[in-house]
Amino acid sequence: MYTDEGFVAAREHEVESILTIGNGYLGTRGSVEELSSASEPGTFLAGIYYLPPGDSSPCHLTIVPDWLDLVVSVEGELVGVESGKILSHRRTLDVRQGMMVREWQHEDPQGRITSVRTVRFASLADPHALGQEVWIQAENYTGEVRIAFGLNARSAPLRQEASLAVVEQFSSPESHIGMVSKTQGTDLLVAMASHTEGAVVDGAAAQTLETCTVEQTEDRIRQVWRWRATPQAAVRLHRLVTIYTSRDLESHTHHHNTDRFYRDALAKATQAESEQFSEALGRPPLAETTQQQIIAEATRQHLRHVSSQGFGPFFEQHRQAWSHRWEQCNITIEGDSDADHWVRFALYHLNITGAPWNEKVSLGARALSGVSYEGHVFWDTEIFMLPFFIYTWPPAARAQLLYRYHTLEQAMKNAREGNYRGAYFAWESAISGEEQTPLFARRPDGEIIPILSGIMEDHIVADIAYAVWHYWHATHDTYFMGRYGGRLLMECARFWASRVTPPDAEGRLHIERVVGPDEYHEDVNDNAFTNVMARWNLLAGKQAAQWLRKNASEHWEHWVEDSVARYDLTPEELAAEIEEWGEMAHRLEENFHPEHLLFEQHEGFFDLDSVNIAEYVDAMVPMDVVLGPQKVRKSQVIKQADVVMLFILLGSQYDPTLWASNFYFYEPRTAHGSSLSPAMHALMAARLNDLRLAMKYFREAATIDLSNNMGNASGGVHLAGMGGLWQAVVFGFAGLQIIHSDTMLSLAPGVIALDPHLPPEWKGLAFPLIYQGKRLEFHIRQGRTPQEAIFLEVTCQGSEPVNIQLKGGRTCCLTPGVTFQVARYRTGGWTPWQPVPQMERNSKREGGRVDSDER
Amino acid sequence: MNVETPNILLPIDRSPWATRGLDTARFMADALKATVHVLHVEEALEEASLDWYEALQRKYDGMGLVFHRRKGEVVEEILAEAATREGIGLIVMPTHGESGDLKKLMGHVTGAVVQQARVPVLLTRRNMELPLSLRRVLIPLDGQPQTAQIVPFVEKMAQRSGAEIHLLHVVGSRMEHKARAAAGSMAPPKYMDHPAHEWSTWEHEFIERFCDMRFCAMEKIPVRLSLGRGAVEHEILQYTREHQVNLIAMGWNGLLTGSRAHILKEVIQQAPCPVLVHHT
Repeated sequence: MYTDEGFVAAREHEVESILTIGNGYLGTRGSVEELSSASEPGTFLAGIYYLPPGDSSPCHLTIVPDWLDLVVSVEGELVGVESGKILSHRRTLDVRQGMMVREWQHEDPQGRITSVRTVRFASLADPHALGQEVWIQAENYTGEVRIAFGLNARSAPLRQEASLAVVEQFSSPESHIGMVSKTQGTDLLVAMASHTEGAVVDGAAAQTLETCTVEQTEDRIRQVWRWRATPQAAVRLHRLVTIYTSRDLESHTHHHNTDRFYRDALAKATQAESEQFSEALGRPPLAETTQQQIIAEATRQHLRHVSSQGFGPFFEQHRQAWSHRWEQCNITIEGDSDADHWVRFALYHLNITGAPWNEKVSLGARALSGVSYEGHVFWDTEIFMLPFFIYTWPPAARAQLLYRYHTLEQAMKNAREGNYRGAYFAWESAISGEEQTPLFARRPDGEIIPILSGIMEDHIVADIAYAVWHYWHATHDTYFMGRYGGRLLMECARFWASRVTPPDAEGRLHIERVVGPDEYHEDVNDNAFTNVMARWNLLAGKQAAQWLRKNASEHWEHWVEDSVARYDLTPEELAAEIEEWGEMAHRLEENFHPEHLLFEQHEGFFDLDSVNIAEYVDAMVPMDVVLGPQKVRKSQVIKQADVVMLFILLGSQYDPTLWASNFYFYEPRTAHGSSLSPAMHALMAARLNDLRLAMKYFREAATIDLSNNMGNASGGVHLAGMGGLWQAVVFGFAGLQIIHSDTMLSLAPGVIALDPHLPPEWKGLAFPLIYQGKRLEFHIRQGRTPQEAIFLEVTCQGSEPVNIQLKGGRTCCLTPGVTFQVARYRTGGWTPWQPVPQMERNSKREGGRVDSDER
Repeated sequence: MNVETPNILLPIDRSPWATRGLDTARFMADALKATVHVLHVEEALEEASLDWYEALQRKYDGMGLVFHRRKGEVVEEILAEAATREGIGLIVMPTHGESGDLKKLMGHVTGAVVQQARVPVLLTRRNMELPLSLRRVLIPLDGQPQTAQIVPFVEKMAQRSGAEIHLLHVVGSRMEHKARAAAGSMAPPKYMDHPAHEWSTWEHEFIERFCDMRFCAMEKIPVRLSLGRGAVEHEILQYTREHQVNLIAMGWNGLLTGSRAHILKEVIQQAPCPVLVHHT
C-alpha cells in the first residue's frame, strides 16, 4: 500500500505519478477525478505517440481522453478539492489488487458535507477494459446530487489541443457513451466507450436515482445522473470503460478476449468472414474510416460483454490476475519493512507497465506514468527492466524483444545511412525505430548542450543483442530464437563488424568516437563497456549463426537469402563474413591493463584529472551542474556505472578478483548523476559482500521516486531504477547468475549459480523465479546457528529437475516438487544439500508463509 | 496577503528623504493602478509637524494621494494601518542602504515593519534611481513553497503592469539543504539521465509548482526560469543587471537580526532597483 494523506498542490504532480494505475496496455496517473489547477492528469497508451504540428521534433506521448472524468455537485455547488473545504482526503495505491482508492470528505460553503469514495483500476485480466466505482454519501443534508461521468478530450488542454482531435462521438442514453479521437501527425485512432450503472446502497427508500441523460460538447461527452440525497444515505455507481486503438490492428499477440471483439468488428466492417481476420491483418493497412469503424465497434462489443458480466465479476477477474501476477514475482524481505515496501512498490510499477499484449510497443523510461521522456525506449528497457520480466513474466519479456525485432528494418536503414551494415538501433526509439534523440538541449542557465547519444551511444546495439541472449538462456524459447532472436544477434554482430576501425599497426581493432554509459565523457575512443560488449556480440552472432543453421534451417535459409540479396554477397562470402566476426572479436581492443587488474574506461581515462567526489557529497545536483561539463569532461568523474556494468552483464567471464579491483577503483569516481546507477552499485557491492555499501546504494535506488518531494517523479516514475532494484535483490543479494560449463557464449543450457549475502538487518529474503519454464522458489535466511552464515531453501516446481550451483559448493540437481536446504558456514564451506521432509514443509507452509498480507 | 487590490501604504516621517518614498510609491501606484495612502505617525503630535504635514498635502494635492496622520508608536501604527485599511497590499519604505548592522541598512522602523508586516514591503534605497517602468520582475526562488508565497502577488502586479516574470533558482548554495527539507520543495534534478528530457521536465515542473500558469497564460504574462550557480546574492544581482530587472521580489522566512538573512540584506544594499520583500 502507498498512501497519500491530504492534498498538497505543490506535490500533486509527483503524487499523481506515484499513484499511477495500469495494465501494460495503458497507464493512468493518480489525479483527482474532478481535477484541480494543480492537476496534471494523463492516460497514456503504450505506443500511442503524436507528432507536434509544424515541428521537426520527435514523437511525443499522447494524453488520450480522460476516462475518469467525473463532476459531482450538490444543489449546484461543485464537490471538488478547490471548491469549499476539504475535511479529509486520502489516496491509497493498493498494489496488491492493482487499484487506487480515494476517500475524502467535502464541505461546501453552505455547510453540506459529502463523503466520496472512488476506486479505479485497469484490468490486468482484460487489457482493454477499465473500471471505476463511485460511492457518495450525503452526511448532513437533503438535496439534489448530480454526477456526470465523462470522456474528456481536453482534460490536459495544452497538450491535448496539440496532440489529438475528436473525430467521432457516439452514445445511447440507456447504455453507453463513446468517443474516437485521432492523434496529430501519426494518425493513430483511439476509441473509448463508457457504461455507467447506478445502484442505491443505503437508504434506498429515501432516494430515487433518475435515469441518466447524455450531455455533449465538441471535446467531451458525459452521462449524467441525478438523485435526491438524504442524510446518511449513500449511492454507489459503477462505470466500465473499454479502449481500442488502431495500433491494435498491427499486433499479432492479442489477448484471446480481444481477438474475439476485433474479429467480430472486422468482419462487420469489411463484410468478411471472421476466419479471414488473421489474413486481414497481413494485408496492407486498412482505410482510416474502416479502422475507425472497427475499433469503435470493438469498444462497443467489448463493453457489452463486460457489462453483461457485471462489475463484481469483472473486478474479481482483475483481482485474480493480480493475485497470480504476485505469485509469479513477489519478493519478501523479512526484518526490513522499508526495504520490503520499496521493492514491492517497484514491482508494482514494473507490472503495470510491461505486458505481453502488444509486441509492437515497448517500455518507456518513465513508464506510462508521465510525459517525461515522451514514452521513448532506451537501453533502460533491455538492460534494466527486461530481466525482471524474463524471470517472472517471460511472455512480456518476449513482447519487448519482439518490439526490437519489428524495428529491425528501420535499424538496418539507420545503419545504411551511417555507412554501416547490420542493425543500428536508435538510442531513443518510438514507433518505427527511427532515431528520436534530439541533437541538443538547452539548460535553464541558457547553455546549449550538444546531445551526442543519438549518434554515438552505440552500445545500445550490443545491449539489445545481450537481452536476446539473456532471454534465450532463461527461457529456451527455441521458436523465438529461430525466428527472431538469431537474426537480431547476427545483424547486431554485423553492425559491429562494420563499426570497428581497420586494424592498427599491431593488428588491433578499435571503436572510435563513441559515448559509453558514462555520458560525462562523450566522443571517446575504445570505451571499455562498448568494446567488450561489441566483442561479446560478435562472438554471440557467430554462435547464433551456427545454432540457427543446425536448429532452425528454414529461418537460417531465409536470413542467408536476405543477406545475399541485401549485401550482394555470395554464400561463400557470407560464410567468410561470419567467420571473420570471431576473428575480429579477438582483435578488438578491450582496454584492459593487466598490471593494475583494471579496464580503462576509455582511451586516456587514466590521464584525466582526479577529483575527490567525496568533497561534493552535499551537492544536491549532478556533478556536471556543480563543476560544469567542461571540467567534468577533463576529470575522472563518472556519471554512472560504466566499467562496473561489464561485470554485472558479463561477470561470469571474469575472475571475482577483477570484479573487486574494478568496482573499488570506479565506485569512488562515480557521481551517480543517472538514476540507473545506484541500483547497479548496490548489486555489485552485494555480490562482493560489501553489504554496508550495498545497502547505501539500495536505499538510494529505492527512494528515487518514493521518498522525495523534490519533484523528481513529477514527469513519471523511474522505471529503470525499479528494474535495477529487482536486479539488486536477485542478482546482488541473492547472487544469482546463469553460468556455463564452457563459455557464456554457448547457447547450450546453463546452470543457475547462487552466492547469497544478506544484510544483517534482513532476516530473510524470498522470491520466485521462472527458469526455462520451471518455477523456482528461493528462501534465503540468516544462518540458524552461530556457525552458519546463510541458510537457503530452494523448491523447484515442474516436471524436470534443475541444477543449482553454489559458489564454492557442489551443484545440486533439484528434484521437482521437493524443497532442498543448504547452509553456508561462516568459515566458507557449505553443508550438503538436504531434501526437506514433506511433513516439515507442510507445517512451514501453514505456519510461516513468507508472503505478507500486503504484497 | 491581499493580491486583488494592491493599494499602497506609505509610512512617512520628517526626514529629508521622505519624498523619495513618495516618488517610489507613486511609481508603483502608476504601475499597479493603485491608490497611495500616506501615513504619518508621531508619538506626540506637534504643531511643527502639522505644518510640515499640511505643506506636504498641498504639494501633492491632486495627485491621488490619501493622507493620514496618527498618534502612537510608529511601528505598531504602521502595522495596524496595513492590517485594517481595506485593500492595502503593499507597504513602501525607504532604506539607508549602508553596510553594517540592520540599523545602518534600513533603520529600526523599516526593519521591524519588514519583519512583522503581513503584506509585502517594497524597499528603496534613498539614493537609488527609480526605474522608468515596471517591465521585468525577478523572483529568486529557493524551491521552498513558503518563500514562493510572494509569487501570486507578483503575478497580480504583472497582470496590472504588463511586466514579465523572471524566476531564478540558484544551485550549489548552502540554502539548498534547508530548502529540500520542506514538503513540496523543488530543486534541480539529482539524476540527469538524459539532459534533453530532464531539463525540460524540470523547468516545466518548477514553473508549474510555484506559478499559476493558467492565470499567467490567460493574462499573457511571460514567465521564464533561469538557473544560476554559485553565491545566491551574487547571482541575483548579476541577473538583475544583465537583464535590466526593474524590481526584485523575495520571499523569506527567517529573522533579520545579527548575521541572519545575509542574502536578503546584500540584495537590499546593492540592488540597482527596488526590492519587494515578503516575510512568510
